[in-house]
Parts: sequence; structure tokens; C-alpha cells
Amino acid sequence: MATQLSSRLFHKIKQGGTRWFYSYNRCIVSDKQSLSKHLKREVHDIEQVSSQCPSPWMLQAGVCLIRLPLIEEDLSEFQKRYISLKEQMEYENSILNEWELEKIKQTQLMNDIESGKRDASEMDFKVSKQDYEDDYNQAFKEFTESTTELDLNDADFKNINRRPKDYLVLISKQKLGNDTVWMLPTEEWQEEENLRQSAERALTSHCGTLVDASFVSNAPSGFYKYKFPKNARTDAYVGAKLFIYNAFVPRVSETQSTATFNLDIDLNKMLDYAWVAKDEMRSFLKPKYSKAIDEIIF
Amino acid sequence: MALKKIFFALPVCSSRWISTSYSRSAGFQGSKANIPLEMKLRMIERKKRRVEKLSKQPLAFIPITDFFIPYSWKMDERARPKLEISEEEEDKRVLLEKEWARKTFRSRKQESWKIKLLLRHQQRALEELRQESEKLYNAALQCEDLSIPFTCRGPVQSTPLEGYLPPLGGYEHTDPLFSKDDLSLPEV
Repeated sequence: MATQLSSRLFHKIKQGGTRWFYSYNRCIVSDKQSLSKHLKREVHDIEQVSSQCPSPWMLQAGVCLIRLPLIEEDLSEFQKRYISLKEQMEYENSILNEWELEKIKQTQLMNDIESGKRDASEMDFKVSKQDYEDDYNQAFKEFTESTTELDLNDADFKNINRRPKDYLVLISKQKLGNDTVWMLPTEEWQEEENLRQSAERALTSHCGTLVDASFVSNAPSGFYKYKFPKNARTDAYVGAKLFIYNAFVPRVSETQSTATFNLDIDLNKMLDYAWVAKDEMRSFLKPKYSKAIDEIIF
Repeated sequence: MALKKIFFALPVCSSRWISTSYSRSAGFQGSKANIPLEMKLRMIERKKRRVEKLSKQPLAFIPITDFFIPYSWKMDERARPKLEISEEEEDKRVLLEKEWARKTFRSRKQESWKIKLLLRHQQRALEELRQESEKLYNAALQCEDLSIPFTCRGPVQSTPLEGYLPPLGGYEHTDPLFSKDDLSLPEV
């Protein structure tokens, strides 16, 4: 029987085309739909079993508070070239507008007056359009040279407006057993509570009630499973399953490029906090943890 | 017998240009230039009566006429002096367009892949939650009314200037919505 099965499997793999999954019971499942049926059956077994012996995983809900980019990304060299090409083509295919027509007439008039073809009394303007243009260009040049854009302090991790072109995530330093660990604000799930409510509770308990954040859905956006260090493991729990919920920090207004963060820290829970971009996450968090968050933030 | 003078507009075609630049069908531009005064007055009165009739009707929205090109734009004096583009330059342009097409396709693919990843992570989280407890899983599947429609403000182009206070408020549309009168009266 086993040899027959294995020969069929080899035959199918040689043919190619369909994807084959191995489920827990080591029977070959042909496509995704039947795999989910399998999982459901497995869950049924777990439901019956869990009433007898509870799962060794503690349920936790964590908040991934994301500050979206405040300023557009810089254009790449290629994009700049393409934009200049498009502008050039649009200019070439356009017709003269009224300002340009007037300018041409005025230059023609001035040339004619100088050469003597026309009388000087025909001048119907004091300042020509070309002079206006030169004035405008001069004023613009002075303006750009005199004023400077705000210099943002990118080094201060506690400033929410740092690194305005990146996606930032809030990370807090918490106690896990005897150690202090950098991780997302998390709270353990309590009875008679939704997972989403425990995520909201995590945010308010760590950052205070004045924080303005909009959660997106009732379903978790990400997942991370970890085992406690050996001295922290109890009889009930081997480790924890962390369900991560995405929340977004709103901007002050459409025209402003700043976000506000009203913090009211509970220093017992959150010893320290930082707004951290994707490339900086590795220096704070463990690699697997940072990978779990990395792919949730767009 | 008065000879009728018929004016033709010479069409000058060019494959590079759009039709705004040259007059193709300018029509009989000067046909109403030399009419006796009485006829002109009669025409004006007729138009006035038409305008009165229209003003009695309820106001109608002004139709969008962005695609009607005014005749004054089709005159020769409006034509921009033609730039000579060498073959090399043309080749460069075409190659740049093709490269752009490739790059946008690639970036689109990347974006859709990122979205797929997000959905995949959510699916996995839901499956794991289901293995823990059915009740929490059902609660997580509930559709939430408050976040739909979800509004999110995109990024701005640059940081603000030092000491600059932006003016408060938004933009107000001042375009006329309703037509006042369709016909304009000509000069006598």
C-alpha cells in the first residue's frame, strides 16, 4: 500500500501541475480547499481535547501603532528623467498662450521702433511682459535662498515627527520575567474580552488614554509565537501566542506635515519607548520578531 | 449681382501635432460682417426675445465644455515654432517610454505582492486563533462599521518653512454652477 502510494506520488510530481501538501496525518492532499477541510477536522479534535486539557499557549494581544509617512519619498534619477521628458513633450505639443503672444508682439514692437519701422507713440505698455518675468524669477531666487525648510532631528527616537519619509512603529521596553525586553505594547487576554479590546487596552495602559489611534478591524493583522525562557515557564504556560493589531496615528491636518502624540506613560509598564523605522528595528528587536512586524507594515 | 466671397481655411497637416494648433474647419468666419444696420438690429431683438424666454425657465447646470476648443486657438499665430528632433533623440525618447512601462509594471507587481502578504499574515493569524478558541475567532470575524469608510491622509510634498504658519481653512469652489444666459449679444 505504501509503495503504491509513493509510486503514484512520484508519477504526479513528474507530470507537474498540481501542488501537493502533506497534512498532519501524512496523507496526500491535492489542493488548498481540501487542506482547509483537513484543518477544520483537526480543530474539531482540538476543541474536544481542549475542554479536557487547556492549551499551553498564553493569549496576548499587541498593538502595532504605525505612523504613516508625512512627506513624499525622493524621486529616483529615472523618475526625474521621465518627468522632464513628459514636460518637454507637453511643451512641444502645446500652443502659445496669451501671455506668450503678448510677449512676442511687444518684442516685435520694440524691435520695429528701434529700427525705425514704427513710431514710438505706438508703445502701449510701460513694463513689458519679459520684464515682469525677469522680476518674478529674481523674486523666486531670492525667496529660495533666504528661507530654509525645517531641520528635523532624526536622532531623537521619542520624536514622532522623525524620519518623515518612512513608516514608523512604536516600540516599548517592558519587563518579561526578570529581563527588560523591547517589544510592541502587549497585554494578556482576559476573560469576557475581545482580542481587539485587549489590544486597545494595551495601548491605553502603556501610552495613556489621550493617544489618538484608529484601529482598522476586529481581526488580528499578524501573529507571533514564542516560548518563555525556562525560568519563567509555569505548569500552565509554555509560551505565548501574540496577536498583533494594526493601528494608525492620524495627522494633524491635510496641509500640515506633523503628527501629534499625547503621551501619558505608565512607568511601571513602559520603561522606555521609541519610534522606529524598518531598518532600525533589528537593533532593538529579535530578528524573528522584527520579521513578523516588518511584513505587516506595508 | 454681388459676388460671394467664400473663404477657405487651408488645412496644413502634421502628424506630430494635435489638432488644436491648426484650423481644419474654421467655417465662414466673416459671413456676417457686412450686413445693413436694420438687419443687425432685428437680429439683436430676436436674440433678446430668446434670452427672455430662456430666463423664465428654471436654472440648468452649465455643461462641461472643456473639450470644445475655441476657434481663436486654432489660428496660425498660436502655433509654437517647431523644434527639430534628431533621430537619436527620438530613439532615446522611445526607449525611455519602454523602460518606464517595464518599471511601472514591476512596481505594480511589488505592491500587489505586499498586499497579498498582508492578507496572508492575517489569514494565518486567524487560523492560529481558531486553533485556540472558536469564540474569539468568531468575534474576530465580525465586520466593524466604524472604520468603513476608512480615510487616510497621504504624504505632503515637503517640510514646512521655518516660522511659517499655514492659513487655516480649505478651498472653496467659485465656478458658476448654473447658466445665466446662453446667447451673448453681438456688438453693433
